[in-house]
Amino acid sequence: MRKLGKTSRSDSDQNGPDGSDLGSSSVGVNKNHDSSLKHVMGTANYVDDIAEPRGMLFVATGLSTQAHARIVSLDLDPVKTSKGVVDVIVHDDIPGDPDVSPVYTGDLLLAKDLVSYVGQPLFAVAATTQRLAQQAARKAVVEYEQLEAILTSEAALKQSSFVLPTRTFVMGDADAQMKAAPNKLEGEQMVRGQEHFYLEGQVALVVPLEDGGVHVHASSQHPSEVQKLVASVLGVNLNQVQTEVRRMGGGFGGKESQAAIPGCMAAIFAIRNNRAVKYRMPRHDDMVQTGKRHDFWNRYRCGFDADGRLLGVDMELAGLCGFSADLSEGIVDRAMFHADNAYYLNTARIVGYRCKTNTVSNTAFRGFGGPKGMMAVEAMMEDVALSLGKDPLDVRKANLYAQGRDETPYGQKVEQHILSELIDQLETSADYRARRASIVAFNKAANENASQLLKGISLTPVKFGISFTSTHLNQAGALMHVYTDGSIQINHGGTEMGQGLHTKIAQIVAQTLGIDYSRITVTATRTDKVPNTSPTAASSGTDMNGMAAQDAATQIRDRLTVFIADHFKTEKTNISFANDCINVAGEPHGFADMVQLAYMNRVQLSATGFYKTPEIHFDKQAGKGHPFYYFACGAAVSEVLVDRTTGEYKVTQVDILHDVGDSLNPAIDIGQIEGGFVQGMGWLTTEELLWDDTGRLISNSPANYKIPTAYDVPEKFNVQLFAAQNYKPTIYRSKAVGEPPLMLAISVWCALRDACAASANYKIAPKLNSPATFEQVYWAIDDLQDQLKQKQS
Amino acid sequence: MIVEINQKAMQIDGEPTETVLEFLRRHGLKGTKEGCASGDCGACTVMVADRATGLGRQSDPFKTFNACIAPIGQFAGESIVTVEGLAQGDKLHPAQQSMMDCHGSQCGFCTPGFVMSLAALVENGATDFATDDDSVREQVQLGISGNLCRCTGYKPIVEAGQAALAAAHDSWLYVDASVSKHQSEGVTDVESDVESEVESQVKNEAANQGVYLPESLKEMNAFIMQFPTARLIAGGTDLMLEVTQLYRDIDQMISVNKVAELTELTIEMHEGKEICRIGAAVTYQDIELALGQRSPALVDLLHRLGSTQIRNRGTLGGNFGNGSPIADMPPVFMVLDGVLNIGSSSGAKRASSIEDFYLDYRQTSLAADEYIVSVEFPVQALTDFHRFYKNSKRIEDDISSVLGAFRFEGCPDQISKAAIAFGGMAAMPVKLKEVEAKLEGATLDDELMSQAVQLLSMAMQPMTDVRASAAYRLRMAQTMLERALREFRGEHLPQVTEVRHA
Repeated sequence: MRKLGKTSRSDSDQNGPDGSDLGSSSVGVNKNHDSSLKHVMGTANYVDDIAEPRGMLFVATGLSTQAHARIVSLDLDPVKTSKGVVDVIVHDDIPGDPDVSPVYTGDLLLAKDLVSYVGQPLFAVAATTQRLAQQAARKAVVEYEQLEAILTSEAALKQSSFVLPTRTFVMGDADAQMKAAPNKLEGEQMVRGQEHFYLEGQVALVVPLEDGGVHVHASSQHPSEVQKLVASVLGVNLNQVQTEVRRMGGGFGGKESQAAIPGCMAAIFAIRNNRAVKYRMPRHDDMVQTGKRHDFWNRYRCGFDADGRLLGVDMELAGLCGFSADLSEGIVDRAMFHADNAYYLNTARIVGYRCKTNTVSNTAFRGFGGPKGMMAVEAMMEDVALSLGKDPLDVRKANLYAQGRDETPYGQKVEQHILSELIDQLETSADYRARRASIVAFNKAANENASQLLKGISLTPVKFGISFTSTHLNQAGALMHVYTDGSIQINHGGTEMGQGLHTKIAQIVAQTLGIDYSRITVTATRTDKVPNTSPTAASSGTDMNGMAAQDAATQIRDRLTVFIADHFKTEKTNISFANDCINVAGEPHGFADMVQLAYMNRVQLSATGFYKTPEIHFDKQAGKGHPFYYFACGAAVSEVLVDRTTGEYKVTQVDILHDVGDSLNPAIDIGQIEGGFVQGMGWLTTEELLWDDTGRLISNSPANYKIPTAYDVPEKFNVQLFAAQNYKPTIYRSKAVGEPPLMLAISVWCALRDACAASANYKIAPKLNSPATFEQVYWAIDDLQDQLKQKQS
Repeated sequence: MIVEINQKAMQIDGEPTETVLEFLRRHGLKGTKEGCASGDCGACTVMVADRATGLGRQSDPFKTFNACIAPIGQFAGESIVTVEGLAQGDKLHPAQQSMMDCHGSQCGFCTPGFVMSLAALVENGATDFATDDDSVREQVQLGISGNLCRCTGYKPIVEAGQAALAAAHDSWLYVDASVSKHQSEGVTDVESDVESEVESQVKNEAANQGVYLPESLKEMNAFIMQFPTARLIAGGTDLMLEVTQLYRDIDQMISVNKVAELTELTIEMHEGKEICRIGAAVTYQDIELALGQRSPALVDLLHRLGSTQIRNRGTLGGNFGNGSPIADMPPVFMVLDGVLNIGSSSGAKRASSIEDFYLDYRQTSLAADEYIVSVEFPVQALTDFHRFYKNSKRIEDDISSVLGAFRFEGCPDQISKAAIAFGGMAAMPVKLKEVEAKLEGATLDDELMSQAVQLLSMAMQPMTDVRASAAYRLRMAQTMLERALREFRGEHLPQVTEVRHA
């Protein structure tokens, strides 16, 4: 089809100085992000940058100070009389359905008479400025009757407090296998959640239309959901609401269900006051009142043979969902789907609990539960290796899925086995064995000399299932217009949050029509252009919308072909599209000329495209099926240097080899891999979500919730793309890349655990929770030293 | 009041607490973004042309800062450059071009802030004296230490910084550092830019806007007498959080940034000793420039105090004056035998030891009409053995869980004078006199070290909070003391934080 794509960001031979395409191929080349010039100039518009309509109002919300309480009284007079206030609403003022849940029920736009978490909105204010709205929102006098609050997964499990029923995957008789196994172990781990910290906070600007409808400028990964919920709270039909998303300043899953809230709130005020309304959450409000990645409390038991091969596995994964279901059904499912990661478990029982607590309702976050399941099995790999005195890499390799050992606990067979080769390649390129040997020697000397520094290293794989596990979401649409000057607008159901989706879509259209990339503009996502869209989530944006866009472009190409064959009285097979021309029997004609000719001859130059992912199905009750179209894979080696006297550490080197199939755009794919890895590293290291014992989030600002800075990223950070095309006929045989690389960062956590284990000569499994902050690492080592002393005495 | 934005004069016309960010965006300059409104994320980074330093040296001509927590009123007569002011026609600034070439933007929301931080490095010739790639990389890291990116993982941004610095050495921006030009359209009433006229206009209009910009202590005292409830503001990196996070209004602010006596850093002989006097309004960045050669330990600590943007604005006086127990400078100057010089609007003056200055949690001995004039200390102290250790959840731009400061005189087996102070371990910064006494004059052996370390657990009862547990804090304080003592005895104990290049 085409030569193998580039595997490095620095190969830019096909890019002109202005980023234009100089060759004939548009896919597989390092196109700049389609907004990059606007990004660096400061001219890329986000919702808050849209010129504000005259008389616009600004929204702020009054937040609950209690985790679980009845509202006895709510005095809003001081709010209403506060300077600049134009309107105040409570639950009963919502004209339509006050429930804004994405799937189930229980997420109220404004609390009614019960509050379920600290930070829950009780009422909303619209005022003439953002500042006056915020000042007013602080003036309400609320009287509460406190109720007992459940704040942890442990407490929820004890009281069987769940947002949705517990599910179990069963494969074979794990109990019998574990009982008979020559070796057994068990463990548990707390894996904390993560704040999205998209740089652009939640925001919506709503302009009222005639007939009771609204136009919503949203920062959302799911414009159709914003449309649906805005229509629902207003009590109007979907056809009265249009949502428009030009771009987001980061999403990461945090703008999948949560982004509807500002749209709904602003829409109610916009209709009530017949004025444009903007609701932009200040960072603090965003951090306390919108959902995050789930905390998971994982427990595991396993039996294994002398090589470390698993014989039976029992896992319990308890996700802290918060006070409502939100998207937790799929999130805990995905934790269960990835509790095997890349390993054949032989027999298994995997239980997923959805714990209901009086905390903010947790939501989607890059990986969607997958990272939490993987953490359990990777900890198990480390434990098995320590107990057998083996290199953890050998245990991992022994357990990889392979021919004949290919069934997942949910019944899908793994069809493509690339990890073995991929890991071998990375092991060599990263010089893993020699480095491990020298690290073991370094640590031995450190223990003998009682010196302070220890090192750790780990290689961990990722196998991530691609497709929405809710089958109906696996559909996409596109709308393409060719104008008479040969310029093209393409619109599709996906949203741009920085991942370069629009760039890839333009590349796909250019490639399909053999035209210059510069002819194509990808326009803002709008629900009145492409309807009933799925969220840009589950890494599926390019896979699905790329196919839909290609479908539209193919229809145009086919129509032009039919017309030109007829017009030039030649065979269709004599017509080809390449080099920005349409070649008719060997003679090139300019694309714009041919389009003009087609227009004059009344050829339709607009097309809609559609795609649905084939092959997938899943029976939720049985826990069996084929939920994923394919798997994206990768592996990373991380090395750390740890100061045992403080727990402080530095990630000193990272090597990644990742599988994106045939890359559509290596620069963008590598950007996703590096960015995903560092975001995952933050989740597992410095980003510590903490609540106090009244249920108040105390890591509620960037001053006390610390995402990585440039310093935290190792200088030696080598990322390569694995050269293999997708075995499934995806768009140009590429693979999804959004989420999988985040989980490569588990290698950092495992390397830290390895360094901790080194302090006890690799004899005892460390108790290292996540995030492995400096303090956590310190106590893990301290605990090992205590255990060593006890053993010796 | 006039401020120059991208070489165009603009009238300052908002509330006294209006931030530079709000001002810019209200006037349609929306390239500068709000990510946090607390000076933590850097999406609002802009730069100001530095006109006069008073330090008798050429400092960086462009200083980045967080527009989200800087009141526009403080910038009357100043020249600010935003992301809209970088490109010349179709020609991108090297920082912009490199960010594109290196694929340094994804969602793009943080990008203007990064571009500004990198542009400042280019304009300041940050790496003119760089000897190798590592030091260039380190300069880039420092330059963007106050910029958060959630998409890229920073690698392409660091590469863009390196490329921009490699590509460009000529200054790209030109801002006349002596007189603001006010050459723009739209503001006709200041086009005759006779400096004195501009200045008097600045002062008069400042009075109307509630932000006062005295240039001498005498003027400042007069303003304090006239507006006794006005808040003193220096860098605003702490005070402005009341405005942007708690939504409090402040009707009047007296800016100390232009007060000559407060912005001086001098080293003079006094009674046979070299005394360094640092004005309360001297920024961390200027302290680093002035004292960096004498104390690498201080430089290392300053590089972990806030970010470049914060260090360009934050002042020594502010760090003391807000009374915080987790401020990094008080323990440092406690062990350097620092003394606070305190002034009053009445003209009275007094000196205070740093220990006496702190009364309780966020309470200082400053009376309502008093302010910090300067901190002075004997320069000799920097030639003694000294160490400053910081523990925080993140290495860069994070508030200390524990800050340990140590200075020892004597010989490796006997300390003649010990100075030990901690931040983050109590309701206020503490100096550990008992531990100092235990160490002084005795033979410094393992036994004594162990006793001194044990004493710490008696001397301090830290608390558990979002940054660290009480138990960890105590262990870290003990580790720091032991490390300092062992280093005094001649051991070298590397810190992982030193390992920028593994």
